[in-house]
Amino acid sequence: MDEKALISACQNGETERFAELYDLYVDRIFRFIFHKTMQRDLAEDLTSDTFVRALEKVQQFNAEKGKFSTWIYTIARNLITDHWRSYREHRDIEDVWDLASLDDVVDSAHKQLIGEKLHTALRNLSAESREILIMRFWQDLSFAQISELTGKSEGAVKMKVGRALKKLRADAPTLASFIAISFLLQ
Amino acid sequence: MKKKYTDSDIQNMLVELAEFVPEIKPNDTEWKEFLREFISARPNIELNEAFARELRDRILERSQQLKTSRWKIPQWLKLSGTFIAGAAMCALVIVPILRTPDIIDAPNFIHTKRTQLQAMNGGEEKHEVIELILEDSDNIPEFDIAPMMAKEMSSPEMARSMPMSETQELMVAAGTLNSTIGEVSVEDGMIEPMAFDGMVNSRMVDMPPQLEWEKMPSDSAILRVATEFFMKHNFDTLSMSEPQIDKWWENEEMTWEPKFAPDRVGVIFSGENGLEDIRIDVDTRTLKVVWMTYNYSMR
Repeated sequence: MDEKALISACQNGETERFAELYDLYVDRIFRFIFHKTMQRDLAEDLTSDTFVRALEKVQQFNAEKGKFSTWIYTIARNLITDHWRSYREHRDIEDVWDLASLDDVVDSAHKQLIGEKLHTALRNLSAESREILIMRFWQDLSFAQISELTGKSEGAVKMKVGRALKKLRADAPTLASFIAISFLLQ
Repeated sequence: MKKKYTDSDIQNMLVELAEFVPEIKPNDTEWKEFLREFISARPNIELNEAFARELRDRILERSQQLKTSRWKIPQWLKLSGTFIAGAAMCALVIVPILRTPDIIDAPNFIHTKRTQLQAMNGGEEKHEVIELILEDSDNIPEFDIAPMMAKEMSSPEMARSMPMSETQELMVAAGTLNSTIGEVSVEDGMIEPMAFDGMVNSRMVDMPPQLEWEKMPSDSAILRVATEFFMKHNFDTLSMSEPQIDKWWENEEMTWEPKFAPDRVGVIFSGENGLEDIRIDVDTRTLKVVWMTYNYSMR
């Protein structure tokens, strides 16, 4: 059964079919959340919340207003924002990268060092540029998907990604070296 | 699982970007290598299988609960084509009269705390203040409507001049009706309290006089009040458009000009893909939030 039919089945009372939608999206949503939080436990908690929320609200999903993927990513995004807002009430909500921990990403001192450098390089980007860049290259979202998620035109998204990449490359002496080390360690 | 990119994939990615950022050179080996390395440097995090299984079981369990809870409504609807009309009548007329929260209590409902105030002048005048409290642990943060009225009500001066004679819980029976007799609810996540609007307006106490147009607060002042309220109650602004003031009086089709400035104006926060839509009404005389219409299905 395709995605559209699954959604329709859920909306017609066959809510158990939501488990199949879960199978399609759980990995993507988990990684999306993880890349925004960098903490496994937190990412798992928010992934759970996202799917339970989506299940409870699936009746309200309207395919004419957007894709299911956009809808469920938006739920995840809102939950992440709510989490950070409760964590640091007065903080710039978008700029949560500073709060993220690397503990769950790295498993050695060398990788810790590399991760910190990468973390620093990405932190120098604006929160929005960083998010879009990660969506495109680390989460494999298409420009069309990012466009839907962020409400920006595809052209605007491409421009942001291009500029962010250019800025990262301007830091090439640092970035190139740690990426090279990272490559060797893999 | 990391997606594998070929040389051609990488080059195509750069071609797309070069269209908008000319400094990016798709044929440049260094650019290609840089992008490839950046992609390779992503944290290789894998979903924990045990967690995924456990969550899937939880989803199935919850879906069964939902299925059970939704079963009764369509069965009942089949029995009577006039149910909706009857329920609507119940919601808008009978329920406010009955004021019996024990009968209509249910989760996700909206309650108002209805306070009747009786003036000291022989009991000839009766006033009521309605404080709207949204109760829903999952979706709707609790907030107060007409906070300035609640504040006045609790002040010693107010208590002396208008002692409370009665406090009752009252269901706001507005919005979409979707349950059986004796239960009235709004559709999950949807709130349309406008049916109560007139009641609140007609029973306001000690409100300032109508406003001359020249004393109308600036757009920025109104937007600031609404936005601060919005933020204070932890609504997500990230996916919202810039708030817009609903200047109904500027409607081209309107052929008359009101004598006074509006007592309240709506500030509308619209979300993407119809996910959120919130209207916050600001009283132009007190610069306080007095009403809110909430369609926020995502939280």
